[in-house]
Amino acid sequence: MIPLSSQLWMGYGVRTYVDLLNIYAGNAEVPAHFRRTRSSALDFTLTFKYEIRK
Amino acid sequence: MKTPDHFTNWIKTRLEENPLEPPAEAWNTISESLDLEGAWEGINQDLELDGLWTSIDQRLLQAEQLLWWEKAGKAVSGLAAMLVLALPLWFQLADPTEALVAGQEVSETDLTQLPGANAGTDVASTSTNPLASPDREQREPAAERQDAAAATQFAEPENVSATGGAEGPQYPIPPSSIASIPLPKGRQPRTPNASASGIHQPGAGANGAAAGQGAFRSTKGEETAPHTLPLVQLSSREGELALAEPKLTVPKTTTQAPVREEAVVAKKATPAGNWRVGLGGSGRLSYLLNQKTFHAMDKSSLTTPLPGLRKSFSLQAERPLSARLVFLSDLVVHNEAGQRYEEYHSGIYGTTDTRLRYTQLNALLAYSPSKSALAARPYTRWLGGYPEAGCTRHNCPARWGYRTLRGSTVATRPGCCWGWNT
Repeated sequence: MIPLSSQLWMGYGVRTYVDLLNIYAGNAEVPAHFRRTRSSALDFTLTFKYEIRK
Repeated sequence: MKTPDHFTNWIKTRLEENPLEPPAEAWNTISESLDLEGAWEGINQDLELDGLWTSIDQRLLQAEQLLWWEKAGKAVSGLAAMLVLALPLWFQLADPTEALVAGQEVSETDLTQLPGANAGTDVASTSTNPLASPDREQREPAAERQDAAAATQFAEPENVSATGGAEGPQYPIPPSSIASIPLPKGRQPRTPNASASGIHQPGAGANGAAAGQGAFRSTKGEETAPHTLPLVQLSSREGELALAEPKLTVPKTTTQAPVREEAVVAKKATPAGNWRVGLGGSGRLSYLLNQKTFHAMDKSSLTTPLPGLRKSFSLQAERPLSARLVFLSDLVVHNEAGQRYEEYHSGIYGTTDTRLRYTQLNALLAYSPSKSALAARPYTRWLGGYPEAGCTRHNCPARWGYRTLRGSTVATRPGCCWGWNT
């Protein structure tokens, strides 16, 4: 995290996601291969957070 | 029900029932009138094969250019990823606070070995004092050296310890000398509680002789809280001490001392357990792993899988659990996943873009290896956690437009997450 002020923070980074189970339960309208699909993603994130002080 | 064509049926029946045979010359006349050679020549001209091959050649050249741009894009992406990874690590490696803390520990260790530390003698008169160093002797007259040594005599030089507590040495600072040192903007003067961190503090000695003498004054002459100078300054050979008048300058280390104080105060002033809430967004390279993707990876396949470029927006909250461990919770209100395929579809070679939209909840733990999860400076951390998502919509657009299937079956999507951020 990078402090922008005493209570405001900025962060950036990289995340990877890999699903463990099927991505989709499927129905009559959707192609059948979605029933056996897993999703993976590589995210480049940017966040701004405010610290709540009591 | 298709209505019968009575006229066509009548003509067909009449021709089939006709008993007369056509003459053989009739077919020859018809064949000659067809002019097949001229017909093929006209067809050949209509095809414009030269132009067709030129067009194909341009398409192939364009494909080669796309490959070149793909390579350039990969190189740029790799450099950007290296920069993203290296920049916060550089922040950590170039952290002046930790370097100063390490230097302080070394200096304090050296001080315990000073000849006059335990003997109760004047440290300024020892050879470790830069005022008495040979370089110093070459630069300044003897009279000035004596003044400087007199101004930096310690009020209580005995019991010099590495911890610097209440029994540590007390170094009174002449107000007339310190009044000329302005506080850097944004720096806070040292508080009496900071003495526990190992910095020696003037004006708070056991004998009280120097009480009030170390008061730090601003440029306007207003007296503020007592200020301390770390003892490391006295052993520094990079600059000259700022304690004596009239020609001494502020050493380089005095500009670093408030930085360390600020970091120490920030660490203490930021209690563990404060929540941080905010907003987050991400750009995403998404990949769907299914039978179609694996089939498309085959070289003989006419389908090419490409990652989908997606985005997400989230509400985030985190709470430090310790100096190194932080709990993170992300509610991703708009989370997209998907895949692109370049493939033949209904006789057209185009791009099929599959989009899956989710609402996702992430529970993550972030670990910071440098004990600085609460510090008011840049730091890095590693992420690991458990995302849970529900699919709310499935879009399957092709080159001719989007085909949206709403109200699709909601599916759970537990998974795992690993990452890194600042």
